Amino acid sequence: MRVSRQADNPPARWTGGASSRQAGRSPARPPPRPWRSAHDAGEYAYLDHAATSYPKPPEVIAAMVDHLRYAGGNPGRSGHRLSVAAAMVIHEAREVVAALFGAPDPLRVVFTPNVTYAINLALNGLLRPGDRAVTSSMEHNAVMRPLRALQSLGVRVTTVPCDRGGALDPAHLRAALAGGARVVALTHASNVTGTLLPIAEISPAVRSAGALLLVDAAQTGGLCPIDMDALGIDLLAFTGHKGLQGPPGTGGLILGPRVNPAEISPLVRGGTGSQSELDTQPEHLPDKLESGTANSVGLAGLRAGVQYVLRHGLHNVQAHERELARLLLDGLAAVPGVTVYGTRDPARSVAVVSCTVSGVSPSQAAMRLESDFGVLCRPGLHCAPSAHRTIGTFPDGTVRLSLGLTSTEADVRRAVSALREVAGR
Amino acid sequence: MSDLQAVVLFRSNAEALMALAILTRARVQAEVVPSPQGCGYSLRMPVRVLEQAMRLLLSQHVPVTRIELC
Repeated sequence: MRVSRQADNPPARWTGGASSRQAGRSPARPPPRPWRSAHDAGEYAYLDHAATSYPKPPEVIAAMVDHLRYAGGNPGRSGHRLSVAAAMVIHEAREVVAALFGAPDPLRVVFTPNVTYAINLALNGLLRPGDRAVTSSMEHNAVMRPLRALQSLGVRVTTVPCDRGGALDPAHLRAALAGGARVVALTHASNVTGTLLPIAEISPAVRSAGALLLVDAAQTGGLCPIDMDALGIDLLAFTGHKGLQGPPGTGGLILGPRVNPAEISPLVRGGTGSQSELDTQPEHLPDKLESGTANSVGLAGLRAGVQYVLRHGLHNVQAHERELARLLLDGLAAVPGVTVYGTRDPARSVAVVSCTVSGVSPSQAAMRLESDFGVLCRPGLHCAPSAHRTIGTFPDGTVRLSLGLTSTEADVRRAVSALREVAGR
Repeated sequence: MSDLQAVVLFRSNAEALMALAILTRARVQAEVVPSPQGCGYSLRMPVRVLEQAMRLLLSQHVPVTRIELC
């Protein structure tokens, strides 16, 4: 049997549309090459930071390359210098993440491949048939889908409706807790409207009800100050590749002091590099909830990303985004035919803005924004159908513009100008 | 005569590295060595610093499972 090698099947080369030219048609556009400095050169405006932050800080990229070059052992398995070097990177990542979120014990920072896994770990790990979970109507499917699956297994789920702006009334949440609950799962900020939920206001009621508060910080981690103790958060699920400026494939769940590790079951069991004389899962953290080889190169990038954010200062990051969000909201408010959803107050939201254009579907609008104006954003339902039902944009969804650390006033003005053209047809 | 050495074992590599970080910040001599089971890490240190190290780790709630002399 002949096994083909790469030399036998060289990668296809883009020929600049030679075939189309030969046919007398216009040359095809080259594929985008985002690894150039196209962003800095102004070739496009990236307004999709709610999906992932881009471009990453050079320090993050350098940390990952250096890790693969100089610390490429399997962390926590062998005892040689390369293994120890890789493991130290992960330990330092735990420490900086714990410092960022005000968690006193780095060993209660459990790394996961992404925030969806972290949320699933919390919900599936804690909830049993007969338990009750309370959530909001603005949640991402990372919360809703595991809850629906658990509902089919006998977990009672109560969804507290938010208003048309995506805001949650604390009184409604307190009323929903009257029947008691095991877990209250809430997003910190909606990935559709950016609306911040009143975590600090409702956490005392969650505690009084004897429930644990799980917060999905996918849209707020690294973008605004979060102190788990001050906010009353028991479980914080975070992602590494958005506000924390790290690469995809990183995230985690932080367990606060009220969470008993004995009461949370792991999603995956396997090798942990510890207590290898046992064929049962360790009971101590973080090993109980982390099995298999860790994404050490990703965590090297996450460590560098968190350090980058901490050097900038969270308050500075937040102020930067609020200023740009204000500019964006003011600009869109003046465009006829554009409807903005959610709160118009940047102090009550993160820099995520959803809008619709009269007479133009969100997907068509987004395609025109990129093809004609170089504005990159995300249309549709954003993996949050419940949120879109809440704000009245289901099933078509919205055009979502989301700003980040690297966003500029020029990006915002370009987006507003482009939407004005799209709306004007 | 070289210092008598102690190898301190932990439940997990994460705890071993946490211990190393604590001891390093306190300038207590310690280094990572392979665990006796061959999987993961232990810390080796001179016996003369053992008491100081144990007090530090206990104050930081890092549990130690075993200490071996070598």
